[in-house]
Amino acid sequence: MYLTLLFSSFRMRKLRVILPVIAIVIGVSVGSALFMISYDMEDKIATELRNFGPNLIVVPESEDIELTVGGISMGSVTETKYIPEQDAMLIRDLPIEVFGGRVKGILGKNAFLYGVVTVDNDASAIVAGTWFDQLTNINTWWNLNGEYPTENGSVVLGMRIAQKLGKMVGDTITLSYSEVAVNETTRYEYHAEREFIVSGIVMAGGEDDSRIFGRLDEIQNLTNKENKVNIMHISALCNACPLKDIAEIIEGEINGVEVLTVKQIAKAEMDTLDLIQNLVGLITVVSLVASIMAVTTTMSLSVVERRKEIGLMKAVGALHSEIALLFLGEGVLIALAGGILGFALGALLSQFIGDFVFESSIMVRWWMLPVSLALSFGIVLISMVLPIRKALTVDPAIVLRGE
Amino acid sequence: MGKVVVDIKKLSKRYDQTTVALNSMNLKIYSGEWTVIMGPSGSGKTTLLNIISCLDRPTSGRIKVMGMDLTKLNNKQLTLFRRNSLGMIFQQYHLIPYLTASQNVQVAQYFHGQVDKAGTVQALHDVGLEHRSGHIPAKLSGGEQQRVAIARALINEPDIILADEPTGNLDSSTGDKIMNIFRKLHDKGQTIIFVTHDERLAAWGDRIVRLVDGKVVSDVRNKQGG
Repeated sequence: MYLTLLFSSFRMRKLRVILPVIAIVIGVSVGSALFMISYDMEDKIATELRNFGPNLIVVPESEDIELTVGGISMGSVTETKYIPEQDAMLIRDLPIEVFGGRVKGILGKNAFLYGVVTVDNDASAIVAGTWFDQLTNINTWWNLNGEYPTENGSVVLGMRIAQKLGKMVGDTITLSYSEVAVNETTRYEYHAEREFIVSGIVMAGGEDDSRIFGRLDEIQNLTNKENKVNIMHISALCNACPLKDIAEIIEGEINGVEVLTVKQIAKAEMDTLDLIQNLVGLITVVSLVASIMAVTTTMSLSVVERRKEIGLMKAVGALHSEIALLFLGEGVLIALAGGILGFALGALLSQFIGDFVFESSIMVRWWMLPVSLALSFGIVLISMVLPIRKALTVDPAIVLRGE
Repeated sequence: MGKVVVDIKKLSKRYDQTTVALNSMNLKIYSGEWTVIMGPSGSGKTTLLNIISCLDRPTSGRIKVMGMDLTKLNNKQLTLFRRNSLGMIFQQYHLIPYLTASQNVQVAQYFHGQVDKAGTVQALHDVGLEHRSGHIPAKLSGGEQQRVAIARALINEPDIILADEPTGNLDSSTGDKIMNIFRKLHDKGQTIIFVTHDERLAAWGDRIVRLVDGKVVSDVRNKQGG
């Protein structure tokens, strides 16, 4: 009989049932769509921000050395150190499991060795030896005319240095490197000269446009720095990147290195994600509040319309709890319909927004279904408080009296 | 006369300082009796019926129904008492519009504790409507709706039937059909408290209690009894 009362009531008052379901569907679909989008966007934004370069820099641990001459302090100098290439390769080959699930992926780990060379016996320039296969993973904004070196004997010029030297793709270029070291007993001189083909000219932006890039092993050989690198760049893909934790893990795995976070990028990422999450939260709250108000109004109107029916039930012996149970039963059915339909519409909405606004597909998160149902039931429970109280105050003696 | 089923002593009902619906009235109603409450508009007859049926509370005085002092019961207890002991029939039938005739009867059973479909069929048969049990109120005539309401009132075998102008919305021919149902119930020993302003209908009862301004002004036995 309870179900008969519920479903017969629904059949008779279709509009009064459909309206609160629609209100719930709107509120729940907006909330679930935005949550699905923000969840995906965290990944997508993190990936996008990786286009701005590395978020971690690995440098050799440095020590300041106190310099005194004749007992007089001349301040301190930092001894130039290098990261052994085998350590750089260890860092490059670190498995992602080392980071304990906080990192979703490593987009690139690149190494650089810098030196100052003379170009065509004329101008000076900074040369950087690097792993080109990793370079393209991290420096994704580089705009290359030509090719990156795949074999020894080729270099890529930054756009500004190419213009300064008057070089084009296919030209040859001679790089000379010299270093002199003098101590109390010996004098050490090194000089090397190599000819390279310009395989590409890159528009990199910033200082890199003034540099020359060659294969790491060739530049190590040219500058007499075999098996050494100055610096590593790491681009880690993670949500709310715990960069300090990642840095500590790398420092724990490899001795003699210091890992620095690129604070501007990390901050930009965190700020963007915070903004998105706050916006999603705000819009969701507003839409849920609107749903609650709409459902409350509709249910209250329903109680007013059904005063005589409620009065009659009381007159034939219905207790307050039994009247409340009837309305709650209606609320449960409305919440179920609203939650399921709200989730479905939210999934569709997220796809539409993803395609239309972000030009990207959004994954349907099935765990949002129980969340949508919870939201729906929450809306209904809050909305039913006033209408049920109203129903319980119906006085049968007043509503049932004859004319 | 049977035992006292309604015992009213100095019963009063005030709505405010100036509106007095019942004015220290005294009344006894006996088991198996068809008592007609009459009076002009505002005399307090509906208020009296509401208090006996536990839908309203007196301002002062005492009322016992089936030996239960209603003034000592809380709202929940009044509802339970009404559910178990009383059956109510209204001038406007008050059927639930989205339920069929048999479902409207079963509503009273549902709130009483359990639904008995066989009992529903019998109740509708007793009022001559078993062939209309699957119709919603909109498909029933006024007389048929009132007969469903009577079946609803009877389904739980109440101690007392309370009827407030049950034929007020019906034509005389249909009204007489309804009155005949009451007659049959009365003949079986059912206690009936019947409110009307119609002298012709009052003649059907055993006893006519007239109210004016909330007081009993006459209380006479009807020798002819319908």
